[in-house]
Amino acid sequence: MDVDEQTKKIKDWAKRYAEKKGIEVNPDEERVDEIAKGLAVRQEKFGKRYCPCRIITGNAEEDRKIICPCVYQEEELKEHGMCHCKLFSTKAQ
Amino acid sequence: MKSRARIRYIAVVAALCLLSVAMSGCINQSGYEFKSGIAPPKAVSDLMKNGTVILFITQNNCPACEQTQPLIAALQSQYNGTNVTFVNFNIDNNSTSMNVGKAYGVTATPTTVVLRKDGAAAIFVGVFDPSTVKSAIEDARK
Repeated sequence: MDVDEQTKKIKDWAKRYAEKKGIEVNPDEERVDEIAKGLAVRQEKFGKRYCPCRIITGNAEEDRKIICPCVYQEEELKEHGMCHCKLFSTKAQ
Repeated sequence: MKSRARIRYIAVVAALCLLSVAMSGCINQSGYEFKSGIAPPKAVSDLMKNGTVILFITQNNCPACEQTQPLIAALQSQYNGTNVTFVNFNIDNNSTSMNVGKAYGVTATPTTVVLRKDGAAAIFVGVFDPSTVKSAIEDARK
């Protein structure tokens, strides 16, 4: 699968995930395209959907934490209304 | 007796608070903190000889890094011709950049580090508020 196909697949997944969790995908589509592409490139290179804004350490246990949706996401959404890479946001009231 | 013990307790707690603030650096009202005790890697200490240094630590395919790039460029242009040096370390590019990232405990990008002459570092993770980073730069130049 090439990066463009993977990017599309990730965007579809993100929508489904957000719906299931009662959150939203960032309404800025251009930003979402960039993030999804970043995820797709890492999926292609490392075999996992590592967050493009976090550092891959090489330690499998540590790196598992930054596979999207990362372990920090819920707290970041609570605290800032968006996750660090800005793929997901809380639902607008 | 009880009230004397209480006063002593409050005095000890206050002294410990002051000590911890003194040891960890100075917390500014704007919310950033200059942390001491981080040994700058050689690539950074060489730059510090010229004055204040701003490290912009990024990686490839990082949308937040791209979003922050114009903010850094704007700050950089404001400090043109001064002794403030801006340096971009892309950790995907070489081991020097990776080592700089490790030295400052970078786990997410972009990370922007404002360095004082004594090596104390104010660290901003993610897309930053330009006015806050500018305040940190001004503090670092004092």
